[in-house]
Amino acid sequence: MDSVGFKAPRETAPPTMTSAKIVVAGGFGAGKTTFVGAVSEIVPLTTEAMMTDASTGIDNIDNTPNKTTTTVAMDFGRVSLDADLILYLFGTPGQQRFWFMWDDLVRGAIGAVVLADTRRLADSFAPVDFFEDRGLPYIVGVNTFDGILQHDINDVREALSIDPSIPIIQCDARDRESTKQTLITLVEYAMRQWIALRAAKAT
Amino acid sequence: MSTGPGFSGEAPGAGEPPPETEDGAAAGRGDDGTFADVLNGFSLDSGRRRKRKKSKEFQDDPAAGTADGYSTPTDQGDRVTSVVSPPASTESLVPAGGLFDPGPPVPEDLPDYSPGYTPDYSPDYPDFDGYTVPGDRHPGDDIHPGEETAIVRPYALTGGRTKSNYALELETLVSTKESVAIGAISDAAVGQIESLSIMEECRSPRSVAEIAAFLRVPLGVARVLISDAADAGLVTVHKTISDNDGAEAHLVLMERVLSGLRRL
Repeated sequence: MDSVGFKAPRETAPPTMTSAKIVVAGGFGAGKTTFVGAVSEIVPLTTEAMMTDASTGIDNIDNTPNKTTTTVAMDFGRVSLDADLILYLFGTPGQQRFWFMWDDLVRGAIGAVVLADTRRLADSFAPVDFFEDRGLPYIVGVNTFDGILQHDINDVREALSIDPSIPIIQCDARDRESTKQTLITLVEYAMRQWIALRAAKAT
Repeated sequence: MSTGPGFSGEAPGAGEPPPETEDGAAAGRGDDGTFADVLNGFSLDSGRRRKRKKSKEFQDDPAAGTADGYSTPTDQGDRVTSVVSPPASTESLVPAGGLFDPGPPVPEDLPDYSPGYTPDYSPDYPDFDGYTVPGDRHPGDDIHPGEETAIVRPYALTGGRTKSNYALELETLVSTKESVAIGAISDAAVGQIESLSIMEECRSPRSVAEIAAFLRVPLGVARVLISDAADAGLVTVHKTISDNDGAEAHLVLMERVLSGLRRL
């Protein structure tokens, strides 16, 4: 350690980094991964969780008795918003029965975007129910494939029985600006919700 | 474990000493490649085939043919040629040449050579067939690398532990400590190679989900590994805003995210 430029390692506090999380939900083929990929600065990665006993009684494993674990994959992307702030976007696992995964997903999340494919609106029921149940702020993004809105927004609201206060917006999952706008709408809504909730609690 | 220790204990013991008898000759010639050939020649697995690029000038040498019991003359010719090419070493080979009878040389020769020559053959060690289970791999088996690892159950990496000592959410950021001492790194290398991978990956802050994806392990496993690395003082786990942090922290975070998104 006699080199001239050598500095003894100092115990310096590392810069504090903050991360936030937004969930992107929707049925199979609703465009979750496309949505994440449109705004993410990395190619969406896939992480896996294991389902072991969690699935007992839920998944029918009679046909594959030797299969003791199932992996659940979910895609996610990253958006660096500031030098010390990173936003992660998590797409929900395709199979909606993997609720144990969803608990991990929604814990601490700012909110959720439910991507709805108007050709398969029924796929959106499960995520909507789940977020309602957990009290997680969510908005509905009607994914307009080919830029064509097949149904009136109000019809979608009625079909999904979404509260009028919850934003339902049109979005194109392939378009960066559109996904960005969807996320901004969500965060704005989540903040309004949060403030309203705190005010209600305070009184 | 009944057969395991016997086999693995015997294989190196049976395989190493004979090479050491050849060691003098091999080292004398300063030919490491030849020595590796000798090592491989003493494999217990007679059915194994190796591709050799060595010259085969002694392929038809009758002495080589009798030296061991291999049924494939070409293979065995390869192995032996490289050893016997200097005439002097032939004598030492043939007595040991039973190849399957490596007993005699052990007592006398082991003390003389074992300490010094270990590094010489260690690079070729993985090739030493005493450690591979015969028939484990066949050329025809096209096992995808990803599937191959599945033989080990995921939580084997963590010794069966499933709990982490930190609150590790999917988005919790982890970064490598800049001031980690060299000693700690080597300790980590001894303990868990995954800790090193995590340190490598987290030079810039990475989330738990990213680390899991990078290590190709399920999230639960990644959490334990990260927890270990943090316990060892190798990485910093950054605070994640949770429900316990109060309204202010949440609102500030959301505000920052909002303005960040608008800036994009």
